[in-house]
Amino acid sequence: MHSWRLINSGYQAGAMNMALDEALLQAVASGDSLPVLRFYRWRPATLSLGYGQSLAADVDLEVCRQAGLDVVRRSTGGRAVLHDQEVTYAVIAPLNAGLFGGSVLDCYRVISEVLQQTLVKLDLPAQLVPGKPRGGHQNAVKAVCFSAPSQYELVIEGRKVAGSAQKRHGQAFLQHGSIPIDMDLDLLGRVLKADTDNATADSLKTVGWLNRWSPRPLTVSELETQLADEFSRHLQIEWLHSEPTAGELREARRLSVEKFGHADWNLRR
Amino acid sequence: MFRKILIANRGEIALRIIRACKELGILTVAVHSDADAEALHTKIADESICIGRAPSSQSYLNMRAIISAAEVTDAEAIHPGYGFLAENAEFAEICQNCGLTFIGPSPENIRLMGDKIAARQSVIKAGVPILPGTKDNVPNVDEAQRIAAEIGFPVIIKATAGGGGKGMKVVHSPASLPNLYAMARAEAQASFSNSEVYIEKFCENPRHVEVQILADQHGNVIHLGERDCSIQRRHQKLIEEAPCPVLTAEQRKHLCDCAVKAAKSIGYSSAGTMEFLLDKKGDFYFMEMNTRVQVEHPVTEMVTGVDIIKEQIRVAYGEPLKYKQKDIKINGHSIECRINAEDPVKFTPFPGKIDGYHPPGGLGVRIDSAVYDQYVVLPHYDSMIAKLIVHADTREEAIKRMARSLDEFIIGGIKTTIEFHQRIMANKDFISGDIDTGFIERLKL
Repeated sequence: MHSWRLINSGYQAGAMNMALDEALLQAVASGDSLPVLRFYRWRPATLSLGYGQSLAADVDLEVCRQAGLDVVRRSTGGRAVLHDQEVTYAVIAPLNAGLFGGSVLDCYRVISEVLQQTLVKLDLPAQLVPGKPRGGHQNAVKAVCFSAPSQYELVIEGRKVAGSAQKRHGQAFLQHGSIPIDMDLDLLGRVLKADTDNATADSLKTVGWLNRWSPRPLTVSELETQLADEFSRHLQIEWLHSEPTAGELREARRLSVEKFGHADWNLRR
Repeated sequence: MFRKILIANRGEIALRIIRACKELGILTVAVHSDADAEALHTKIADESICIGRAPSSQSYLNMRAIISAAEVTDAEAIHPGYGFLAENAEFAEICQNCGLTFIGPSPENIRLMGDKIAARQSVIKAGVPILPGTKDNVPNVDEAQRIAAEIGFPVIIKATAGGGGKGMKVVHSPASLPNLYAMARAEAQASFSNSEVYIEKFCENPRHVEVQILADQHGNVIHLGERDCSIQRRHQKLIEEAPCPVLTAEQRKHLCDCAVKAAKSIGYSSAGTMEFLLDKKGDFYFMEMNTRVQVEHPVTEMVTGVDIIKEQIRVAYGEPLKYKQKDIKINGHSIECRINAEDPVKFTPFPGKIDGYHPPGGLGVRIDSAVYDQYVVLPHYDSMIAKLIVHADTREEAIKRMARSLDEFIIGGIKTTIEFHQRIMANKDFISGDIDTGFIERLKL
């Protein structure tokens, strides 16, 4: 059995969510923390962008402002994600623990398998699709993260129901992801300028959310509990219910102001 | 300048690229298969990531894994090296779509030059000579005579459906054509169940001469002179040199200007090589363009002083070329010997653990290699383990320098082709510069 910290952070602003993921990654990478599984939520609802994504090209900031959405840039790659009614998870662990396989894709696969098993046990016909890599299609993938099933991503009836992104730091990695329970597809489309961009409009057709298929309405809390159980079973983990340490919180607060809350970072492209 | 580059390759070229990055202050990410966990390039890079199992298809050709590796390390650009994905237009496109800079030419130019027929069509428009001939079926002997007269003897009749030397007939005069034409058709029918034949100019034992091109994204194109790569065994280059020992200054200028013109006409950027056949009369014909940095780039670097990989990285970033054509001078002579982990007579692969490694040194000697003492040469990949490159004021001196360097080069525990290269350096035809693509074949006899 491996000991991991289980942190449930509840509702926070987007910048703090990103900051705490990063502070925990630093702590795990420096050996100051056990591996972590964290759940968190977003208040207000937030649009997060990939590290290398162009804000100007892909996002309508005016629509965000009017809808009361926060906008934050992640330190991980990928495309835009609208965080509202969803389970957000973060796995932060050392690479050499042997739990996540040898290669970079093995790492994605192991976590995806846990996610898939969780959904299957909730009577959802979730499948893992090793499709084309992000951006490989001619007419798919523009701004929307959830429209490109790839790299062992999770789909139900061809629609992507979980979007994950990963980043390395020293000998540790952070993988965080979103599993929407419900989705305001119309808002998402307006935020991502789908009306002026056919590729984005098309890609919205491959976006999924669990209550679209679930035999009974799921709640975020229920899914968080099921996911933690499945992780524990799959990877032989014993949870230590935990809060961020004073040091981690201090670092997170600094990052949420100087980085994730700062225009220099969020608006850099 | 890029902050971080991922090198999508292994072995000596991965090391070469990492060296250029370090000198430019760029962080490096190495990728490796599980078999390559102890490879030198993973130790020298700032970060390294395992991308899959030993077979290339699961690792160095695994686009998904490589793009993932770039994403998890925040790499901004990918250098593909040579081989593997270097000339894969789809990979270049995927990089673009993922916001990663592919250090090489555009996907369109990779595709264009990857299609041999389209490549030839496009360089014709730039006034570059191609080997005269027709790809269409030659239906009867009268047509054959007409076409042969147009092309000029000698010509070669080839089976359209063929290969492997079958159904090929060399014709030196109109008198012998009817018989040979009939025989070619009969053989084609017998071997390939298809009697269609076409006719090309026959280049007897040509030299393989190639021109190094460098271009930026602002329309500037220069050449760095040519290389002679005639010493080949079954179309694998073994020894390369710069400059080509038999070109006159005028021929050189004509050849290199042609190459530049062709590259400009397709809007090429990055490094590239135009390959030509040079016949005994001194006429040259375009064969193909390689849209990547090549194995033998060091001989050009030695005679020009230009760091080709650094220039590739700079132009990929959007900078203009550091050099104008008038800045490029060819100094002295350089030779490269590719050292393979193979039996020096049979050329069969000989992987295993290197026990005792001592590379040569001294003035004008360069080793591009990623092996080390106790390193285990793997069977999964190419058998080239080192490139020994020398530079000297004259070709004669370069040969002597290469010969004494080969004598000093110790690679124990496995078999290598060092002995083969030593024989070539002592060969009188090689020494006199009287070589062509038939050289190795004749050596065996």
